[in-house]
Amino acid sequence: MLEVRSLRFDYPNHPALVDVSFTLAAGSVTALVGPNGAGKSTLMRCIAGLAEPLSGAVFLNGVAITDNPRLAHRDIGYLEDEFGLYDELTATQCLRYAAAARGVADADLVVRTNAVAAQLDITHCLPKRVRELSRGQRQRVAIGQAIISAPKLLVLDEPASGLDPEARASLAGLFKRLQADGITLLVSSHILTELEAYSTHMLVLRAGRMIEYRALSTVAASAAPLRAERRERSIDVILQAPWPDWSALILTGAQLRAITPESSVLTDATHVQIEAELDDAGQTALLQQLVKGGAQVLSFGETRQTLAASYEQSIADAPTAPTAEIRSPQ
Amino acid sequence: MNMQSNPEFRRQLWLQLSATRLILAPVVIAIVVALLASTEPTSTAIHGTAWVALSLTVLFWGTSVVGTSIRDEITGRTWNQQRMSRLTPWQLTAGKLFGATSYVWYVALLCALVAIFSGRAASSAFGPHNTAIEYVFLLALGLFAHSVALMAPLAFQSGSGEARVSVPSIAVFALVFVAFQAAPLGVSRSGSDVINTEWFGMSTTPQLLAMWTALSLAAWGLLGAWRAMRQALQVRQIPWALPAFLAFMGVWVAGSVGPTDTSMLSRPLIGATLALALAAWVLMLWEPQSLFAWQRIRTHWAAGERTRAIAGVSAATSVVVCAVIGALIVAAVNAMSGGAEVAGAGSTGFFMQTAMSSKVSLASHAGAFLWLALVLLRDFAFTLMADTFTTSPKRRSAVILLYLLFMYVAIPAALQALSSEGSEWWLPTAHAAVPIVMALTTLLAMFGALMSQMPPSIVSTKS
Repeated sequence: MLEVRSLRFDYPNHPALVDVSFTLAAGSVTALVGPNGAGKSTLMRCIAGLAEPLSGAVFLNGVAITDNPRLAHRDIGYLEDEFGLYDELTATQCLRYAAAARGVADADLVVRTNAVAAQLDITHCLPKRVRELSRGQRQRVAIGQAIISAPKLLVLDEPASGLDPEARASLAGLFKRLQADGITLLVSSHILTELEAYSTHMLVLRAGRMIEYRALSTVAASAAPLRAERRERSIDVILQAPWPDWSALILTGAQLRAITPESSVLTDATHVQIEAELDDAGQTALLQQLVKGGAQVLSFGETRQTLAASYEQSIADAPTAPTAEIRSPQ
Repeated sequence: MNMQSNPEFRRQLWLQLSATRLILAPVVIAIVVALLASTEPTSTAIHGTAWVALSLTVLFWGTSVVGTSIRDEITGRTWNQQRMSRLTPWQLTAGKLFGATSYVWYVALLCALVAIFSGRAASSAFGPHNTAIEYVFLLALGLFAHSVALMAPLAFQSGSGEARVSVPSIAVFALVFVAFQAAPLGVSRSGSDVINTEWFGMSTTPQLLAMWTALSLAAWGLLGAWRAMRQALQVRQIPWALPAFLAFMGVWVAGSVGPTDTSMLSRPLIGATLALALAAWVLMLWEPQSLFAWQRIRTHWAAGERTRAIAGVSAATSVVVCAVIGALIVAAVNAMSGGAEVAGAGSTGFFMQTAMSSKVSLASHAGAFLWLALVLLRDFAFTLMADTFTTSPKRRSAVILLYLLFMYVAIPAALQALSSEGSEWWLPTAHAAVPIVMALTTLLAMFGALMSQMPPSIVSTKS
């Protein structure tokens, strides 16, 4: 869907992105996280084709954004951290202008505007001037402008910034709906709990380098369309009593670990974590094996790791970022 | 061109042409006319006031509105939305140039109607001093000013920092324009149609020349605004427009002020070359040349992405290259004609004056233009070094300014004071080529060494 290859972006006195490479799966929601100055906004601007990297390439469905940004813009919606709206126009005019500017045919402007307004729950705002709308409503109008041409990729830089908790929760619901509509989302935020509600993947940046990009085993990830695919899963099994037949379990390449009691002896454990590459069918088969083998399964399910925990683990595991390897031009 | 199908133009109309504003303008103008009519029995005062109002509206109000239209997009954080839209560069340019000023042109039309009708009442023509030519002149000048106003904020915009039309380019643009406009306008405003002027041997009136000048500038302005918009929308383009404009201005000016005893070939060539050379020094002084940008150019060139590499060339570089090529062509033409071509053009400009009035020992004045090409290259190489070793744009400009003063004022004066022969090491002579070539070679070698210390060749973005 989106492939970022060896991306490098330099500001006059320091590199902002160094050798960043990843591929976003279609239909995923990726949380882009990292400390201030990590290069998140720069990465988003490169992906949106608004900044030309020093080297590397970004491809969206095979089209090189870095070579032909205007062609790629057709399939990208982008919302900046500090977005702007035409305050003197009504929400209708804003959406119609955005639609026309993004190539929606004149005959379809009204239908498309109304459809997006309904999707974002801002139909009642349409006749109002934008300056009269609340922060949350303005946010939705801005998102409406970004998605009005039905982009395949939506890039959102700190979309929940400045919103109250209710508006943030509402925004999370909106992102889930957009994902369900087939849009791939890349969202940056400092509020990890907010990202957790809808992210399926996590991309960690620090000092311009990509620390990690991986699928999350969060609630949102397991509810996502990607849940059925084969991937590394961590399964928590809680038993009513210890089970002596763990060695009989047929599970290729799996790693088993006793959680309680903290021991390497699985036969004593009532809480075991199984890490294996599974799809949904494999996970079901695993449960069936346990039950048929006589294990008294009290609880069985994929481990839910919070985004914050994942992020902290990624940062902790990451090597210290090297100093800038490029000489400043001035 | 259907402007109504242009979303940007339509949006501007939503903002500009409200019913209240449309009604307000004629009401205010009618009140002013009524007040003037009650105090002044003749229509001369009304005509004069309307003409001044028309000029102010078109030249100042319109220019301000166009300049604000881009600035507001940038500060209002809506600019990237437009950059990511499917609007073509021309749609955005036209939408802002003509849409943002739609109300200005509406008011201007009302003022023009008042001026024309009151002028007709005062005399049989459009007015006592306003002919149709002057209306065309004013409108064209307004369009030029609006176009420049559209270009300037595009040059100022932050972001990728890759804006090719830089602030100094705009400054050069404006300076040349002011200098160029002053002469014919002055004559035009004298009110006399009798005095004729010559342009490349053709006899014409100053008013007509001024009108064609303004129309030419308007065309160049539109081209410049469109190209600046293309740049802002990340359309890669070869930087030919600024050198072409400067060459055009040089040729245009040479038609009016150049000596008449040169051929039709060398006179425009000299004019274009001198205009380019002058602009080259101004741009070298003001426009930084990032070492990084050169590295990027080198990499793309090495990767076979020639267009992309050339598109990365700065305005200063493109102008310097064209000025050097121009100087070499003039030198070649002069050499082939045995020196006769340039000899007559000795009074055309500073360099030629220097060449002619000095005690040069060159057999041919081709040497003067060869000297010009060499010093341009040497000075450009120096600016590259200044870019590398100075830490701020202000310090860079100061260093280059000091260098230029040293090279073009202090050294010649010192050499002249020492002995008359000493100046031969500075003026366009065969002797002078030695230190120039030595300095040029040293500077380029240093620059090459610095480039080689940059990180290994960056990866091509080709898939």
